[in-house]
Amino acid sequence: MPLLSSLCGLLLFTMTTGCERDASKQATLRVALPGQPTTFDPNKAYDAISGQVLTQLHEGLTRHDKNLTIQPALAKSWKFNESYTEITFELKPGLEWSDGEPIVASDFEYSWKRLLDPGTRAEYAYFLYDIEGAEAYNSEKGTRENVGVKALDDHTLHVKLNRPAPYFPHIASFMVTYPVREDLIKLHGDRWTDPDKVAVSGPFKPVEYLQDYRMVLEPNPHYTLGEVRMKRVELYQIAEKSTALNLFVAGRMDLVLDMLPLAIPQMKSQPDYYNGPKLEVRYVGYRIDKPPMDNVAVRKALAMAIDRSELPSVLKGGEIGTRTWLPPGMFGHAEEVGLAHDPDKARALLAEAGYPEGKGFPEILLLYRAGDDWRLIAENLQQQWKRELGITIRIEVREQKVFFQEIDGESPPPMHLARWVADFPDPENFMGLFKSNSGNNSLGIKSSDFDRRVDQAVQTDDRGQRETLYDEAQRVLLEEEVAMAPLYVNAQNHLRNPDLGGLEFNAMGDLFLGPVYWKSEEASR
Amino acid sequence: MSTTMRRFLDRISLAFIARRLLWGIPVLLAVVVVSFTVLRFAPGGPFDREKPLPPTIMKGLRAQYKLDRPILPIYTTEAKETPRGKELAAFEKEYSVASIGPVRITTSATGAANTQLFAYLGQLLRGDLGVSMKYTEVNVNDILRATFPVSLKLGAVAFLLTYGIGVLLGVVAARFRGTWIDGAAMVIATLGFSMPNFVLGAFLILIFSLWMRLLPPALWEGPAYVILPALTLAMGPATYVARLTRSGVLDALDEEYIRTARAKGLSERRVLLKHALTNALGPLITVSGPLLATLVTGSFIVEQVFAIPGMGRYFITAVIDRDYPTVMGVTLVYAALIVLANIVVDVLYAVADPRVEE
Repeated sequence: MPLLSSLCGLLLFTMTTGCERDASKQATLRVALPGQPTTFDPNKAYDAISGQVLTQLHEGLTRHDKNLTIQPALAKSWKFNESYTEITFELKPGLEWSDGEPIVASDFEYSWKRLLDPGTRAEYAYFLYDIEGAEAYNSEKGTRENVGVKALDDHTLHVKLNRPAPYFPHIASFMVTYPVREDLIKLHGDRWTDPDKVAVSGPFKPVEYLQDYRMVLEPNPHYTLGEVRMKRVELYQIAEKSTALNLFVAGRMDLVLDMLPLAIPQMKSQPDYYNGPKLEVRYVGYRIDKPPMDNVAVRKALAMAIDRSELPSVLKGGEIGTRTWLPPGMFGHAEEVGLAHDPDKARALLAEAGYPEGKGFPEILLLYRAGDDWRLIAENLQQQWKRELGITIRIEVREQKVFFQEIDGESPPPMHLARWVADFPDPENFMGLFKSNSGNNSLGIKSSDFDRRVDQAVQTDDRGQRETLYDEAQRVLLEEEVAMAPLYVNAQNHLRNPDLGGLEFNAMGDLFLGPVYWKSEEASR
Repeated sequence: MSTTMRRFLDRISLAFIARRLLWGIPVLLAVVVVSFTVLRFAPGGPFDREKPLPPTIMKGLRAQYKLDRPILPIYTTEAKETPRGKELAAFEKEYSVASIGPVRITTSATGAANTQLFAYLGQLLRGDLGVSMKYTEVNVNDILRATFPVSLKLGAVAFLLTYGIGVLLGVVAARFRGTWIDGAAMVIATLGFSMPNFVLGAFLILIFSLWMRLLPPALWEGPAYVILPALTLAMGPATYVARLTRSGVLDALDEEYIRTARAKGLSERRVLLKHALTNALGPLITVSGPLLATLVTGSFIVEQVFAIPGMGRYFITAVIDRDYPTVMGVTLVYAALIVLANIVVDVLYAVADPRVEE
């Protein structure tokens, strides 16, 4: 059904010529978000769409620029101690909430402790586990008082870490760490995020919200981090990608995030089209403790048989095939790490494992979740493995919720398709995933060689040293243990009105509408 | 009008309506019990996410939403070391439970009242549909309060269009039976019936929004925004109504009383619209109830394609998200509407056809 409706969208699109837009009616910026945000409470947020709304309403201590360099936001500066186990943030002077109250360091202390409070039930509580006492408090083994974050005065936030974390300023940019107001939460309970109740720290404040439809924003008059030039922003929630495309083509949307992939070939040459990298890697995850996947030669053979260059031509969204785990654009990315495409070697390995020319290889399962892109990958891999190794892999689809339950369940499939989207642009975020004690480790890999290097890599801020350690750790993961086979780096594909200025995307997919303006309006000013 | 009114009052006693309404209660109860149980036993849960939740958070959420309890008062045991086994053990520690082999039966009333199903029924009695498991700060009552009026408005317009277009097509086809007009009308009817909603919607958008630029391609901002989705929604049922009308009118045209009416010198138009069409009314009324209920509870596809903030899309998205309270909420509204619509149809039927007795 989604494919068919996308086809109809495409049909509409190809039959229409160009985009028409009425330049005189450009007071309001209309944005199509690719679905519905689940919450407007920063501490409780976990999905990308909530994030796209929250970054307009709130600010963190820090923020990423378009090159993913960390920049001050509400913080003026920060300082580590020598061993990177303590960090002190200094807030900018004169900061105010949208209701005129001052933004103080204790707003952060409250927010971070609230995030960690097990009663908040925040999915991303683990984000602050680097803070002393945080994990204990969150897992009901410690107390709130023993969490190592403290407002020393109105402008100074002091954080004690339980291990060196030179990447911590990145953490302080993530939506779940935005400051929140204790008085409003106490007063209004769960309803404190309603437009008529909330106080925000970001460029816009919400003035209207219609469940499942749209949120209307106006500039926050107390915002001091930059001039906000849009007088009104409308964030529409449009789950159907062909609908967002139709609205854009009809001149009724100015920015469409995550556009219909089928329309990319037609749109490519237009000034409306934006394509950029994204810190998201998709991979085949092996369950390395289950036969025949417990044989490393089998895992290697499967990985080396894959020609990654086929995937972008199947998916057509500007993806980049990759055999390595850390994506380009992130420090630590090393193109040559990981098993290269080598079908001859793959066949030899499979024979060595007892399956010459694929004979006798069991028909194992590759599980994937519902979605056109996932299906295309699964089908392509199935074909490649048949062609190169002579083996038959069974591919099966599951509804999202069933898929997640099965891969972490009691009898996980031997192979599944997965992805990781960066929470913060540091290798720690990608590498920590496969540590033995990681809650996100669905592969069953437990390698002390890997764990040790990943842990060592955060003891220092020396880039060269960290890079070496991550290279080694990646070789363990991808070449020795071969717990998974990376496939490709995903891309961002958006449509935007060419009259929009100041709109910059980074590889984290952050959306900052604060600095956005109309070029035509600016010219006439 | 006054004779109709009198006939209505003669035939329809309040007791009749009250009795039908009372019958609705066990029907709704059955719907709740069956959908609740089937839903809870479906694989995958609301909190199975791409990044698995830490155990303490998962535990807290399951307790908050009472998912840690047995679903029904009778259940089977689970291995003690599994997370589910631990939850059930905790329940059994608190309430007395009898066991027959692997089957457990809650023996106390409080134990039964604390199973998921009965806790939900108790909540329903208080008029509380519960908090959504996807939008964890939003009550399902609020979701329905915001989205149902939208679907209702769209559905009501679609309902009028269905009967407007359907009856017109049917009468025209019957009047010109056997001619090319009849053929054309029935071709339209067949097309409309067999074309899926989203294809029709796409073509309407293409023609009226993108080529002619007369109507908006999506969104929900005013009267102009209702037209295309309502038309998309109405076309399928309208063609069904057209066929019913045509055959009803044609049947009547062969009857004695039509010949009598013609013999009296009534105009053909009057014969057709007053006498023959009345004959077709019965089946049209019969289908109107379920049709109205279907149209006003919204359509996933139409609301999705036109980005309309209605209730219909929750029928699909809430199931995909395993958002149990929301699924139950939309199911209940839909079931209640079907029950109500059928009562209204019975009443109308009694009025329209004097042969129908209580």
